[in-house]
Amino acid sequence: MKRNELLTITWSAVVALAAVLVMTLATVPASAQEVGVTDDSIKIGIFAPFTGSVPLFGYPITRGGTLLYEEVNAKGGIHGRKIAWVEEDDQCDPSKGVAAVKKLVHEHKVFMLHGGNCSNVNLAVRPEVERAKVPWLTNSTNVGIYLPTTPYVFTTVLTTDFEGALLADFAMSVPNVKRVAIIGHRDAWGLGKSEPAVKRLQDQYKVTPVANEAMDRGANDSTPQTLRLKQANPDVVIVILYPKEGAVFLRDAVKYGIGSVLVGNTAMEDIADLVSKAGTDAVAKNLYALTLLRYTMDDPKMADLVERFKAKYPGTAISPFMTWAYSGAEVIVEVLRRTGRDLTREKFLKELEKVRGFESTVFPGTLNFSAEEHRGNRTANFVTLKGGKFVNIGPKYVQ
Amino acid sequence: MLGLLVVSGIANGSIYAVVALGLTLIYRSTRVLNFAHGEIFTLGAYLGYTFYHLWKFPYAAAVVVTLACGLVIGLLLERVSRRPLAAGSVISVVLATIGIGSVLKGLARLLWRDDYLTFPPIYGMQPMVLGGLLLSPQDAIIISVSLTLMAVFFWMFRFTSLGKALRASASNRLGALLVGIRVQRMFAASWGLGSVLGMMAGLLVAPISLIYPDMGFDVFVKAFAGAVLGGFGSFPGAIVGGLLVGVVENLAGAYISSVLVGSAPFIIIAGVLLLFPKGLFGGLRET
Repeated sequence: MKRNELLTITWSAVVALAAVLVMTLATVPASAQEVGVTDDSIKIGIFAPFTGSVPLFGYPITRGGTLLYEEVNAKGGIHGRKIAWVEEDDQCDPSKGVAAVKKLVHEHKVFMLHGGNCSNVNLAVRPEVERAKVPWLTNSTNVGIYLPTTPYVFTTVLTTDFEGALLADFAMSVPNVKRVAIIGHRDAWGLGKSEPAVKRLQDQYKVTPVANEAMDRGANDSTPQTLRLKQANPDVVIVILYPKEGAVFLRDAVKYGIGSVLVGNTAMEDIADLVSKAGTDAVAKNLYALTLLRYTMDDPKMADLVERFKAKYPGTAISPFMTWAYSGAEVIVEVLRRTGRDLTREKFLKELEKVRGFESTVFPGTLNFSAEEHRGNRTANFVTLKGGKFVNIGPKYVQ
Repeated sequence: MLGLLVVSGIANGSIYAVVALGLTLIYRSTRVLNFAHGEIFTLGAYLGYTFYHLWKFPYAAAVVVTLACGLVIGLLLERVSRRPLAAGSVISVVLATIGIGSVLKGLARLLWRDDYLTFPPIYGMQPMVLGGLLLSPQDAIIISVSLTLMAVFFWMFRFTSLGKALRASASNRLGALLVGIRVQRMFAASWGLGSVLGMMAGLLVAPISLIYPDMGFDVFVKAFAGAVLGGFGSFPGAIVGGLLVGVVENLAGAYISSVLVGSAPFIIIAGVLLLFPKGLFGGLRET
């Protein structure tokens, strides 16, 4: 081979290599973008029971969050990025929940998770989230999901330990109360509330429940439990049941003449829905239900939110539960704004832990997070139905 | 308290008994345990709700149309699940009924969505006091209609030609064929009538329960337990077993622990079957 030919080949190879190098550099951004984040979008994974036994925890909660995302997008998004979301159905079933989260994280490659409205699902999902190191803001209440604190899991809803204590405090605020009874589900969700309630009654008030009755999920009759409660003759009954079973118990309480003050947990805060399910408004007579809301849903101050929801999702039942995901979306949007354009999961999590005194549109107190405490909400009110109107009476009993 | 528990248990048990009767009828004639029976029960509640509440039929008309639908659905089920697989093993037919149950549940989700629906009470919710016992109007309806249904059912089986042909086909297929009974038709009729019973139970329970796609499972399991307790394949056994399950779950829940409401029937059934493996009424005697 002549020297000139060799030079030509060498130069050609150098030019070709340079061209490949330039093309490669041109296709790689200056800094690699975070999973689920593109120049114009941030992808959020949502999972909830869209089908299955607790449909009230599916679309009615989830659409509260997507309402805000849609509105934020309509105003141009956050730092030039629109929020995109993918939804997976967990049917309130732990195994399906884990599968849904794996799909969102590994197949859809979302930036973060927002949702998980069933505690049993979220307890199963937590290890998967920790392995994947994905930020996750949940809408479920069991304290076991949040303790011990992990860097990735946060919530804006009241957790079961705080709720149990608030239920006990409310029960003990009833004048001349001496005898307190409890009826509840004996699953992780129910025990997560009833055990802290019992502990609070014993530690704070030196009161031991006169009865602590169990009710199965799906039960259509609560005669044995109701008659046992009646025999125990309580002044107050703390009711830790899902809405369907709550309606069954309330109906039987009316039937068998339980005259006690009934204190319902957050799952029963939609008293209108309970009345509709039970088929008689007599069930609301002595009922006070814990609500996360600052105002009742029919309060004029909630009208704007309610109207926006109805306009956007006319086919979805509107209930107080929509505020759970709405508050979460408020926090997510705020933290995305604070994190800025250079968005990574790590920076997002650090900013989320800095949120203090955050005023949600819907909750009575402020939301506060820190590196040690990811349960942002500690306040609630109680709601009752008087003269056909919902009345928010605050955290203590009012005649 | 005992009286209240027994009355309420009889009301619940009447539902289990009617469902168990339908299960037993299908099992006796074709030896198939119809796992779609819980979904038939669910469909009865949904159809009744649709005819009565949504389409504003008079209650009696809604009941008749729902039961007619039950008959047609039962005949169809026999045609698509049992007959094509009759030559094979019973297991394949049972598996087919499981599949059909899933399809029916999915259909319910599709047509009526997942939310709980409320069937308006027929005669209000104010309980009546009868002889010192509290009884809601719907409980009274459940007990009286169920007892009437059982009586009519026994009368039909004992005294009508259809009942006799059904019994003959169930107890001796070859003999029935030899005397000119159209056995296939009798099999179809038993599925149709069994489904009518399932749908009737769904209709009865709808005003005191709520209607949702999974509502049939719990009732199916308890009705099955009742049928086993009574002696699987025995009509009197299905009724007595169903009623016993309803009463036992109430008594155990009230006098031992409310944790036992769901599990007591099965504990007692396990005990009874240990002592009387064929159940209280001896079960089906093969001919």
